[in-house]
Amino acid sequence: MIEITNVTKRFDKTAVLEHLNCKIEKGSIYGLVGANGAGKSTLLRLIMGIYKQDEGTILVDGVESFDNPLIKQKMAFVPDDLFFYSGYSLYEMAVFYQSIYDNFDMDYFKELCDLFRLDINRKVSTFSKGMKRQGALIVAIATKASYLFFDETFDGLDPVIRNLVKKIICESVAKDNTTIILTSHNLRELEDTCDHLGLLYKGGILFERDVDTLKTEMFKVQISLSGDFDEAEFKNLEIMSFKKKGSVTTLILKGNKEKIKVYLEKKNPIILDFIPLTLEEIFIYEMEVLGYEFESVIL
Amino acid sequence: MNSKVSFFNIKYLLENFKKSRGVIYLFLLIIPIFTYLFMLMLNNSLGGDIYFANLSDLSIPAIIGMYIIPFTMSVTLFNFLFRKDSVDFITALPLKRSTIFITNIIGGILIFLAIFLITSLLMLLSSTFFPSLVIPKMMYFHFFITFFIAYTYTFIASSLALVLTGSRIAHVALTLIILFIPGYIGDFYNSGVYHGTINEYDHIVCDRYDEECDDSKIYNDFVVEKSYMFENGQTLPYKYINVIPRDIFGMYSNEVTYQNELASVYNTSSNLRMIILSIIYFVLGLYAFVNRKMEVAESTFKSENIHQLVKCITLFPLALATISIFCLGGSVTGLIIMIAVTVTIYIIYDLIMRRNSGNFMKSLIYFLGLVLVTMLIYLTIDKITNLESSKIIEREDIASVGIAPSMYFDYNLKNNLDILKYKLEDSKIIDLIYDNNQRAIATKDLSTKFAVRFNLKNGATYYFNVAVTKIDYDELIKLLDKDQDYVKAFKSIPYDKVYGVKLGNSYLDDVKTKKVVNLIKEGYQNKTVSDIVDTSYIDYEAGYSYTYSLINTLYSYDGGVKTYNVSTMINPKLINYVMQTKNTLYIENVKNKNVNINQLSISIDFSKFEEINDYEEFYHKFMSNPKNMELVYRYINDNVKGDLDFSSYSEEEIIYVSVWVYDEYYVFLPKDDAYDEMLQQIKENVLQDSNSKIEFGEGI
Repeated sequence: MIEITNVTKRFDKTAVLEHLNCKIEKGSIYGLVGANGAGKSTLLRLIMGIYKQDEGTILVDGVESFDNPLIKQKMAFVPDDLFFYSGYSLYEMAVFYQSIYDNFDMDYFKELCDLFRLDINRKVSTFSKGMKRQGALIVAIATKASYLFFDETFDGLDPVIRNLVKKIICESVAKDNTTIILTSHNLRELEDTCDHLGLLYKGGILFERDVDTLKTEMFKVQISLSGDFDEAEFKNLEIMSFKKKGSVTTLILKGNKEKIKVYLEKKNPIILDFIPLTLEEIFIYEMEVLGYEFESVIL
Repeated sequence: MNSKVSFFNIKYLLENFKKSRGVIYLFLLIIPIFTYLFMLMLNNSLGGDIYFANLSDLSIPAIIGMYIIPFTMSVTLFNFLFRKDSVDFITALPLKRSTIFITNIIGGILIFLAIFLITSLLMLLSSTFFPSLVIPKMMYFHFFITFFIAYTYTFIASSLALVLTGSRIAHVALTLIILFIPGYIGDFYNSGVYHGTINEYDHIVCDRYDEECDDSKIYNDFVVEKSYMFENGQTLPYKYINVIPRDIFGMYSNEVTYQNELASVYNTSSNLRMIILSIIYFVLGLYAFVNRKMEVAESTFKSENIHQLVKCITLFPLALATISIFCLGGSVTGLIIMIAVTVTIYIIYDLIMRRNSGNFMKSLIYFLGLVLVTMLIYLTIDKITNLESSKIIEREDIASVGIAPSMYFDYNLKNNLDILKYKLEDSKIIDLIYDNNQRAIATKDLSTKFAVRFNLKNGATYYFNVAVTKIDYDELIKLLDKDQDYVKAFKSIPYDKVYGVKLGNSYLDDVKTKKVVNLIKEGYQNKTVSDIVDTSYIDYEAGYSYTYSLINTLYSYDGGVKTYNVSTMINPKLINYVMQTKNTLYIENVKNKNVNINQLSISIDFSKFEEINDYEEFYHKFMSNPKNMELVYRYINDNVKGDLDFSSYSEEEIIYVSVWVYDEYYVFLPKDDAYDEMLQQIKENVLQDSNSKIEFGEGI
């Protein structure tokens, strides 16, 4: 588990992260989302021990990760700005990682390279941007680290490769109970991969939820009743949003879907449709409750 | 486990070497190859002659490399700090920061160890192919140790500078500061910051060659001045460039003129200083690296104040020089130029380092601070050195003296001056020296000079050149001879460390070297200081004395090449042997090689011809007729012997001839019938000259 408690990080006099608290459970795929400059990359670097926080603590499996090689054996990082040794092939990079990471699996590395159709003996400098990212991801995954940190993971990857990466990530979690932290400024990208999401805004975690819970506990209902009605008609429900247009009302509700369905059917609706919400929509409504305009948070 | 909490990670080091292998291979080869080439060139330039190499001869590639290779190595190993992507990569690895730093430092040190092991071994092996170069074995070790330490020191200093900053240019500036500023300030302090010295002793200086000197006036040949032993324990990188600040920034030193003889450029204190500084810089570098905020990559310094401070320190030498010129009342033009240069560099520094002009107000404040601090430093140094120079040494201040007699002032007999370290505490000796030091005396007698070191009770040492009266001189020598330990120290030559002998201009082979050394040892036995000084006396008034050719220079190696000049006159057997050796060298190199007379220059001393009244005219006529040269040459070749026993001849019965052919050879011949015949023939030749107006006295 990763426990981040009251972490503050300043660059010069500007606080990029301020009193940030967060818990990432073992074996989860945690998506960290936020606008450009929100502090996502900084947070990853703090957890990885590249930077040191000015205040607060960061514990990985109960120990501080900064300058701690024992715990860092369990951590691998793929930054947004990739680095490879000049003149090295992918295989040579793997050999380097193998010399540093005790559990590096060379066979698995080669297997992944075959899967991604990357020539391991070719110099990385000749790879395209997307291929470099694939290479970096493969090498990181092959370390068999318990914690993998991917910054702007899918940047430069085509849709086919993205799906492949997502598949491998999920397999890793399922097989090895790996904890994965992904950052992106795009919710849609993280939606079908992550099981937890955190929204970073103005140096802190604004919003943090389990994705399944988010999706199942909140949904959109379109309903039309005979006769006139207003919001009071549904007073027993937890309403996030009520929008009436003509005779059709769109409700965003929170709660147990089955119970709500039974409740609404008792009103003999003319129209009753349950529509699943996208993650983005869920976030928008949650933000509205908190008093934020979602566009200003993400974009 | 690769990443156990250990201070050193061999696999990380090997990968680091692997990624930089091109550069490392270059470094491993370049110094050995160029050192070998230098030895080859030197050997070939000697044309078969023997040459006793010193460390400087062998070190030129290593010296040049010292300013490039360690700096480049630190950049190679710590290059990742300059870019955000590489910083992320390296610091994300499961390695302790201290492991990364220590591993890189050890890696660099191992490279230098390899460079100098290879170079030293190559030098040792190649010496068998360079017969002209005589190099004592210890010199290879000395070379290895000195440069290994110097390279390590420069590398660690550069690494410290690199760790403290995030941009390459700032790295260069900071490295220069760490390597050179401490030495520069030390030199500046020692130099006294002003022209010449303050000399509180009242005397009239009169150059002995100045025809206007009035013999009746009291004068002293030697400017009596205080001299300081110039700091010779400086680090090696600074020593080789200290001429730049000294010359450009006008640091006029009060160093003793023979300071280089008292301490070799390569010395233990310099090495120790570099080792200690290396340890300090290493500790500082380690601390800085472990605590470094890695987000500073690609920027000069995290803190604006530190950036300004580094800027000021970088410009400090220039500022100090400018203020020196101002305070010394230098030319207005020069001063304006210096001010303009200083201000310009101050302004463009930010443009270079940060690509913007920076915070104007902050820069202005720091600039004023720089001027103020520099002024304070200058005035403080000036005050202290003025106090020092105006200080009068009182008799009661002196604990002991060190004395080196007059022969040390003769270039040919200049010896290493270790004898000055011997402390004489006899109050009579101190009184004699002190009293003479206090006054100016008339002397043309060069034998009455001494190099003196006053050892004060407070631990300070001062060097003087002192001339004493003849009477005091005799008294002093007697007192010195009474001190058996002084006599022993004065005569002390490390015979077991002697690896070669130079006789005049010729280097002797091993057999002759051993013979000469044994004869000197024999000659020194039972000799007093007075005996030795007397035999070293060069009678300049007697004209061109052949005793110049009879000086044996013993080369020993003891932490550096040390030479001991011993007059042949110390042992009659040695005189005989030296004369025979000189004749043998002539026979081997001139007579047996049938050297054409046109390649020769012969000088024969006619001043002993009692018959000739006008020596110069005679010599002119002699030289103008080529037949005379042929005559002399034939005479020499017919009569020179390598085994003639000269011990039966007095000094007046021996003539010597100087023969120049690419080198100078001396030939010693007895005044016998063959000589008389040659002389007669020369006289006849000269008389036959229709313009001859040579007058001869009785006896012709």
